[in-house]
Amino acid sequence: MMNAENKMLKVMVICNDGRSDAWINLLRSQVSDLYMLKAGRCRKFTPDDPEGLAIPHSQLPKTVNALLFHSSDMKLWENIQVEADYTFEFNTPGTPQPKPGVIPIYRQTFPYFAIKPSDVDELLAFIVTPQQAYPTICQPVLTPDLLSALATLCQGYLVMENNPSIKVCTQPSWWLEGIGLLQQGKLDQYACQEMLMCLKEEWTITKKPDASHDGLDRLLANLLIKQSDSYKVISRSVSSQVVVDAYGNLREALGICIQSDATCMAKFEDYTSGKVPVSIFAIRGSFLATATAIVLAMRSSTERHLLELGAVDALPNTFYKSTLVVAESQVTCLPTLRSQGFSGAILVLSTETFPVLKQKYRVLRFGQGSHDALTIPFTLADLHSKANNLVPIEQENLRLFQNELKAFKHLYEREIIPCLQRLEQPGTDLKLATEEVAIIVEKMKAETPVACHSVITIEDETLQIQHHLRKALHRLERQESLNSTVCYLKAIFEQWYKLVRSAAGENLKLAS
Amino acid sequence: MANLRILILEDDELWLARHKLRLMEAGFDCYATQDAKEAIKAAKIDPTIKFVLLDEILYVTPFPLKEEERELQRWQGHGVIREITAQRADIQFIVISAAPQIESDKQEGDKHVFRQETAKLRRRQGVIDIVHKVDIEESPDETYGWIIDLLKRSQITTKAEVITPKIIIGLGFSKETHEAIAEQMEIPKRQFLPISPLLKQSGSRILNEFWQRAEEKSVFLEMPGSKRLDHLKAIKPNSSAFQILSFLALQAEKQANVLIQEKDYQHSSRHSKKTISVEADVDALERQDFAYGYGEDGRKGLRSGVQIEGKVDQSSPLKVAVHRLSQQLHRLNLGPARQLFNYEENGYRPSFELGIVVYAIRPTKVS
Repeated sequence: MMNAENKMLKVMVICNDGRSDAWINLLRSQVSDLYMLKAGRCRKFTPDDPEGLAIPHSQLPKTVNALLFHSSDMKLWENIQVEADYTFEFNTPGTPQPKPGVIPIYRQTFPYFAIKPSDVDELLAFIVTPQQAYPTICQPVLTPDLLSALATLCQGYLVMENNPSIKVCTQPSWWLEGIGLLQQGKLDQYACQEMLMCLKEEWTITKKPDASHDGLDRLLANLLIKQSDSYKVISRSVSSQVVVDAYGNLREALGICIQSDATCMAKFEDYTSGKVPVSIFAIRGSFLATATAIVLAMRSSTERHLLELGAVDALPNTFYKSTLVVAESQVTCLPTLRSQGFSGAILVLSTETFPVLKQKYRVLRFGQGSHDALTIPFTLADLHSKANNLVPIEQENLRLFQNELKAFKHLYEREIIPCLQRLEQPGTDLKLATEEVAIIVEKMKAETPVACHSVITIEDETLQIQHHLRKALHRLERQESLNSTVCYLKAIFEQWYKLVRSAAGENLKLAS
Repeated sequence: MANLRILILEDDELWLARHKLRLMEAGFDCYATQDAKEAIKAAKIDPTIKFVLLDEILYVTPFPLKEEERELQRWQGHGVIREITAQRADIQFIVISAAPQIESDKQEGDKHVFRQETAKLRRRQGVIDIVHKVDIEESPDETYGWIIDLLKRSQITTKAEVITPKIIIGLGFSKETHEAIAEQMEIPKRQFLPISPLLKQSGSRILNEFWQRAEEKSVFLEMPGSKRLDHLKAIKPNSSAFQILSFLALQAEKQANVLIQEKDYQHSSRHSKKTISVEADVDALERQDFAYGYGEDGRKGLRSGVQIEGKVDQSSPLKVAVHRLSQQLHRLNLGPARQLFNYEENGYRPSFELGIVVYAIRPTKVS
């Protein structure tokens, strides 16, 4: 039912996909005028007209009280010039970047539309009577990595508790190992303190009431106890009710919309089915990556290891074919691991989707099916389906990547730069220089074939690097406008170098 | 051409259409795809597919406009060949390479990394040739004509006759001597000159003379249906492998019995570990009962005071060398190691062809 205060509210939703309908369903009965802009068409809804009426753009109001737009459809809003008192932005994983004058909604909207009627009530109340604190759905999570890690462990527990043969997850040590606090039976005191501080800050800064995290506090009290300035692992098993309550708090905080624990989570049999890798690795330093690895490893007798970067030489042989779970902040380590022969699949845990991530990190583009990303927060069903579809990288793709990493620096610094310098010197023997360039080009094609297939734009022409090189060589052979040809060659070599260097990253350590 | 399909795998749809059109015009039935996974599946389940025309580097299709959005497919050309040949050893491949080949004398020598890479690819099982896209662009009729001819020829040869690979011993001479030899033979000057016309003219004595005078000796490999000779650098002129191959090649050119026996092979002994074998003059079970017993811990062991005498197992030096050579040639895709030499008439007969050519040493190599 519509509140008396909401009677005069005008709200507009801009989104090209089905999420606009989800918003309309929630808002329709709550506000007096509701506008929807979808696929270039406008519709107006009122409490009396739930079907809505198509209206031309000219009939849109000049101002509205609140405007909600999908990040990808921002252009639609820019075209219609409607002013709003409050503007809210939402996106798929619930991670819009802060923008001036726009309030982000930190809730997942796809595949789960994690906005509930109570959230809408809170949002409208905020519009009617502005308060200092934003509505709950607009409050950011300060420690998504830690909260998501705990949520993943809770989901793992709830799936596994149905299976009487697996009791490991009821032990506090399993939980503490899962968030990387317990290593080889030894509790990391500093890490424990840091984790508890992080959680305290999370509740204080986001102004969460005690009731919103008491379940989680109870879970932590079942895992750790502080005795005379040091933390100790509790030897009692963790009960199911404690986990259910903690998971409820985490779902609320992260905005994971799950209808019910029982229906949405995969059954144990489903969960343990599928191709399971020999071992699962995670790189130390991310709560979520370690938690995800331990939950994945629980599916069968899969081994699970934590990887210390810098100690790659001491790794077991199974590592090279295992699945590696990493947080986005750890992706920069991947070129080094690949150069050292790691041919396993890689699952990146990030707030961004895989198409966005692969644009940022070239290492993730070497072999479809061997790299994927899981958008956080995620459910175990999502994790299960992603992990099942991952395959180790094929040896050709690995070799192509390794060859690029090995060759590019030497080739650029020792051969390309001196060759370009000689070309620029007056009185150079052009025939000899052309031969030298031809040899360099051939080496580039042999050692970095993927980079040579990459498309770049030079002089308004978009071609593969190898075709640009061929064109430049023809120009050199014909000895036409030498200066511009040298500039052209320089631009090609620089773009090639930039491309391969971007794949290698700053921290590349090649295998000896 | 009934019951014959050509599988075309190419990620670029324009090239795919181009290949398909040309082959269909030539009367071939084609199965064209941009997806490596689909190609592997098709080749495994469709017995009519006998040839595959495939690209080396494969991106996920459709190609996005931005380079940052492009991603490599799970399998590249090499991987597709590996996956298919694992189940279908009868399929032959022609690799269409996108990398332009720069035609000039200047890239000869050891810096020829790219050509070496191409040569490696050509030695893969089932690969009958590499065709460069630049060749298709520059002379489409001629290059497609070559591909079609290759497909038709391979189709006939697989049915009618067996074309075996050929190992060729190359005798390297300076450019001037090479030109003089070409003139003497009255044949057009080419990089590799067959020696057989000379033998017909002057008899086999000249062969020994050439052999002695050669400034350099190398081993080359010619695969069926291929246009080029690959230099097998792994076989050095002072190795036992070279000794065997050169003896057999000389026999082949002299049209003598192409067979190598123990007496034809000069073995230089190595300080190798000698194996001890127990003499078999007594019954094995009797010997075991006498020599071995069970200890208090239930373990079987040699009885105290018993010593087993043995003799050194003298295996044939030629047999060892032939075995090693077979393994080496197997790695070069000549065929299964056990089928490369047949033991007959107390000697080893090769199942591949052999020959001798004369070639000009590159100026860079003449010091």
